[in-house]
Amino acid sequence: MFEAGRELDFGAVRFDEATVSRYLVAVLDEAMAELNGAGEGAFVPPLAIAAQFSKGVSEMDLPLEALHTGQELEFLKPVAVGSEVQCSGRIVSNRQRGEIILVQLEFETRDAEGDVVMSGKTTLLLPAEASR
Amino acid sequence: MSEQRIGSALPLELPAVAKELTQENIERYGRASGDINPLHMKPDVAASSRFEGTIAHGMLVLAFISEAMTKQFGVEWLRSGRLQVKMRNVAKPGDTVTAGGTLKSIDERDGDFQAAYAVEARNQQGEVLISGDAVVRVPK
Repeated sequence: MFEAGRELDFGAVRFDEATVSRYLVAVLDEAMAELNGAGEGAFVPPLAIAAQFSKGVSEMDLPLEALHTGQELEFLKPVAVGSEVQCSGRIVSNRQRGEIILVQLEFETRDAEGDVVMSGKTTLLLPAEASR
Repeated sequence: MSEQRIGSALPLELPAVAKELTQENIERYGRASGDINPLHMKPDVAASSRFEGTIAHGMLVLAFISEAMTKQFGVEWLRSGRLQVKMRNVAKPGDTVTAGGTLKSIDERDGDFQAAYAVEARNQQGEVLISGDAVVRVPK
């Protein structure tokens, strides 16, 4: 399931107003709401975009006690509310150390123009026994 | 840019963001993000895990750090932000999480300032949940 080099396609998501609003309520984020009301335009919170990747990873039949232990994110372009983005990635490495497996994945998210709006790396720690 | 101007644009401390986590918040985040792992969403299932109950999504706690950066830097954070963090401890329902950061360095790059902050999120006991670095470009 986590073989290094495996390509991952997490599909497309349209961040319409309702989707962004649900996310902002869920993360109790007041700063994005303030920014979006300030007249510079309405933008998707960057962590909402990154969540598309973590959702995809969570659907990979992870063992219950899989832990998300590291995260790198780079934001390259603000994404306007109403935009559709496409997320893809790959498994970079998969190393067993005793009773645990460290898996590193990377992803990038592109907008409709094909521009990369975000990239990132995620590290997961999986119990080796449950991952066999 | 004068030192005073740098100081006002780049504070030594980020504005703190404090949130109380409830099981309802965690489930709301799970539904909004689509990450519905039972370790977050199902108290009965999570009770048999080594955490003996549900835990918050790491990306939910990380969103509090991102909120602190958005509060300070607005759209520049969305345009040029970088985060590199480790998730060190889990947050659980009932925890109050406080996120913030401290200025580490200021560099000049391509005609702009680049500010690096040591960021973290802690629970009410002062345990570090997430720590790492956040970098943002600030136009001169």
